[in-house]
Amino acid sequence: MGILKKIEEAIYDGDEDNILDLVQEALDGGISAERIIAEGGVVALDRLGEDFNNLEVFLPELMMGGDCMKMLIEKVKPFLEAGSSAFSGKVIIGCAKGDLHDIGKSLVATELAVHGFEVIDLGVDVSTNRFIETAEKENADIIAVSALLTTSQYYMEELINRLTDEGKRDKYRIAVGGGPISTEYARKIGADGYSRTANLAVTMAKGLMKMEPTKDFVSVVA
Amino acid sequence: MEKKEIDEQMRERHGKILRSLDKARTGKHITEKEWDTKILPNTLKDVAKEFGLLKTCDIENPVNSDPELADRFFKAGWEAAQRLGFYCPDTESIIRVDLAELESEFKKVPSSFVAGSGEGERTIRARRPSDGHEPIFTAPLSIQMDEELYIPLSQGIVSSKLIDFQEGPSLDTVMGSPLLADTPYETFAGIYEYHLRTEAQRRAGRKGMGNALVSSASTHFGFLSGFNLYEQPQIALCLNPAFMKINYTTFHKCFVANEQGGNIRSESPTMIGGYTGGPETTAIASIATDILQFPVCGAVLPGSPSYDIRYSGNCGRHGVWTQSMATQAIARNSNIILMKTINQVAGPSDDMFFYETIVGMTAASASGQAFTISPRSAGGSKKNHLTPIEAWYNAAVFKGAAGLSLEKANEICREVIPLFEEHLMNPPKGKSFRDLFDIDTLQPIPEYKEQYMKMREFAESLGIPMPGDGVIC
Repeated sequence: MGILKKIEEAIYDGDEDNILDLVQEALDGGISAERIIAEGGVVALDRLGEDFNNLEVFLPELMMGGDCMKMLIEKVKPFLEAGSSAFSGKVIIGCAKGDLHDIGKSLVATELAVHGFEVIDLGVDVSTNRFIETAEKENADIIAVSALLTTSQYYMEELINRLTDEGKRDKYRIAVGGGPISTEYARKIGADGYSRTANLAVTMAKGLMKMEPTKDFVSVVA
Repeated sequence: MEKKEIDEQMRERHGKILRSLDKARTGKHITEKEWDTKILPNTLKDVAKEFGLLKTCDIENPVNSDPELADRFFKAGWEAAQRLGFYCPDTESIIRVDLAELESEFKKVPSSFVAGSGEGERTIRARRPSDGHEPIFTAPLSIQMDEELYIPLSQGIVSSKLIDFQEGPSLDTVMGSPLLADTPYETFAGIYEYHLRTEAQRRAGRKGMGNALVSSASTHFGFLSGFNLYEQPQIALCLNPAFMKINYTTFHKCFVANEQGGNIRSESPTMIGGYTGGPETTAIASIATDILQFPVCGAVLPGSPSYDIRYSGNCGRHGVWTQSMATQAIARNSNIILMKTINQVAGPSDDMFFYETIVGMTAASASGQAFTISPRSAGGSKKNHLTPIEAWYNAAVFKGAAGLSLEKANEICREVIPLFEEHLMNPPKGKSFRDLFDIDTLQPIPEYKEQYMKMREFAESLGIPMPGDGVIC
């Protein structure tokens, strides 16, 4: 089995113990960082995504694959050619204040991670302050907020208003999602993007990275 | 009264929750990520393997009719309950229940309880698969409605005697102010909802009707302010943050519910494809969650439903199989009064909503569910997408399917699922209450009434005797 295939299998299996050694072996063998990402990592993640849709692998495997991919990217970052970027963008994600429903948010975080985004997951019940502080500290591209509870969705609007009031709105693309959230609601509160499902969040996030904050709106529903 | 006597009373009423709190405080420390991604899925997989349950999901026959298989699932759920316990995110520790405690508590699980008063009083009893006793129907789920629609919608729904209890809908504003989670707005919502709800029930002539409370506030604030306003006994919504997990919010509510003489309902859905893995391991997780509810928090009405993570519903093949298997396992092997929700993803006035209802409710009723709360029209994600007709239809199918054999339920599901399954990933959201009803007269528009009657006839043609709603038919 070639080294890229071994990397693919390691990512698919979430093999955190061996992934770094395999990547080093590939680099030592003169394989470019770009090829390691594309032909080792991305191929594995595509397989994971397809198998997840067919209920052949599940969220834990997807998360472990995502974690491995993150390790791979960190390892090859110094070897990327100038102008290349290892990550598609940096995303701060969390459930709005008062909302403890973790699974939808975790699935989106995982889907984004396995598709090349650098994801910082703040967990559940995240205050508006914490979203903003972390986005500032991490120089995020996207702030993604999830709410299953209608009583928590208001905090999405609060976040956008706070960013606007503090003159920071143009720095971040704001994505929202969750059970009660719709395209109409996302537009109404001034978000930049909405996706109906976790799978679709990847398309949305890629769309967001092609636009400037507040200049357009990306809604992916099917 | 001596302090000793007071302590005895308190121990009797609240001892179980105090014990669980102590366990949460002193239990083994584990990160939530380790629990979610390693301990939980690996244990479920190990148990499924040990009991020979992997790859038993048969999506061609979504309603199981093999009692031995259901019993094996129960044994696996029992084993998983012992090995896992409940995770408490507040203390980042595990509340374990050992075999002796599990067995002792299991013997004490009540097989019935009463809620409501006068004409509204209902006895909720455990059921067995194909049980001829009608299950109890509560409506609606906590779907978000405009404030001004709360009373007319509630009145419309509970005007049918098919509806035994009321739970939703939920408010998203209180007297025009946003209902923000974790704030005093929620405290007020608990109070405000009481006044709106009792007025709606009064208008519908349903004084004494029982309730599942509090639906408009997710944290404990609304519960603490609202629950004690109602004449008891009522059903207390002390929901878990996730399956196999319990937190301080739930415990806050449980203390108050116990003190007020309420009946605790506790659950949270397992997700097929999520942390619990595939259909088989997800069914085991649901069974384990239901087994642990009474020992950990004294819930007399547990019922962890199973949703398919790909579309957040449970009327597709994998969802029906998983949920009906978990239901049969509990219903055949325990006195637990089981409640699970059916999550439709299509909205009001779309045929798909009625098809999903036939599938979900028939499988649930025939498999032995004692209680349900429904509908979840449009997956609960579209504001105001709920009318009385969906509630009545759900209730009629759920009650009408009582006594059906598992084979017949399976036959019905096999016939109806192909009518809608290709749309599960992108379901039609239907129309709103204002679109489909005259809000002043509470009459459906003629087209919707006609569709409702046509769908009732369709259910009858499949072999489900549909009881009348007492309003339109």
